[in-house]
Amino acid sequence: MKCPAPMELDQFVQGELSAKSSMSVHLHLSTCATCSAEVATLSAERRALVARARSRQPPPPNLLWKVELTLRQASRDVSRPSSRWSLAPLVMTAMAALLFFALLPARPVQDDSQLLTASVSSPLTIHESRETESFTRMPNSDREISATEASFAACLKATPCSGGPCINLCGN
Amino acid sequence: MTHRGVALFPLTWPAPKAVVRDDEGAPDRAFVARARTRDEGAFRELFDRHVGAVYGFLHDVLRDPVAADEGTQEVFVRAYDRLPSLRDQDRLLPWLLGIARNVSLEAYRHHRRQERSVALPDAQDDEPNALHCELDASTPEHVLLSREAQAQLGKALGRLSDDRRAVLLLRGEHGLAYEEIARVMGWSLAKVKVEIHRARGQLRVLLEEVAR
Repeated sequence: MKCPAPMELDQFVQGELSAKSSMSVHLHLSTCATCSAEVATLSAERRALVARARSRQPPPPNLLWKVELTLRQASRDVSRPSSRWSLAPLVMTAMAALLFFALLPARPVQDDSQLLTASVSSPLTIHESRETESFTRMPNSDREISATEASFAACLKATPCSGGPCINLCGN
Repeated sequence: MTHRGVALFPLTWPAPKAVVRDDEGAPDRAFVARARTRDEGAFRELFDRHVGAVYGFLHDVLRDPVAADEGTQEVFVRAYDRLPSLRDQDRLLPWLLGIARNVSLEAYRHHRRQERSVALPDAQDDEPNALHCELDASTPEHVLLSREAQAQLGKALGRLSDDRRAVLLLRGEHGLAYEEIARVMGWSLAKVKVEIHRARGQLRVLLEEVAR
């Protein structure tokens, strides 16, 4: 019988051959010193590698704990939205706010003096702001017109026009 | 290392309880089926069964205990995620070793990028602690199983190339079939045959060298 291939001898040692093939190799070994020596060496190598594995230091005892920790962390990462998507609610809120203000009905615009008036609090500034208001606001009703005219008349009486540009805005 | 697709993993995983099991002799298949449904106890059982082999393989391939520790974690995290893709549920170990092989390659690339070589000592300091083999000095067993010879075997293995060391260990220590080794290594069956044969020849030469 021709010598078996190295792979076949290896499979013989590992017990992977069929009964028929195994018997055939076994018969060959009884007549071939070279293959017998090879089988003995292969067997010794396998035993040595297995023995070496058994004598190896065992894995660290906390490995399972580390694996579980990693899996738990991965689970949390998956359940939590990523940083890219976490911005989405903020952006949508901002867009909704912009849309809301854009669609608001137009309101009468207050002039700056009214805003200023609303923001002051001392009696002096209230008095000044009323004077400013009287110069800047256009009178709307007859009563306001007559009140404005009376105010101008009183002012003219106090400081009559002297030829130059009228400080009382009377048009002279 | 990112781990996507682990959405179903429970947030609260209670600590393992010391229980007496009557299924210790059960094949992997039963536990794989349960672990696929996110059964924590089944996953722990599979971990206990195979962590030694996976850690040992990575330790031998990477030659670095810290890298082996990290690699083993990565293997089981990936295994948990990919367990549904396992076809032959009785061949869990070859599948795990295939993941370990990929993890080891990534570790090599990572270390290469950092221009820092993985610790590849000539000899493993933690090689066989004590092998009390009282054998006939004339047998190959004695040559290969004595304590001194174990240290020499570690040295010789360390001098093999990474791929040859890996295939030799997959075959000799873990008992994977040639076809399984081909899948793990991503090689053709013909290449596996050639590489294992060459690795053995090289190992024997190296054993003679380190024995001198």
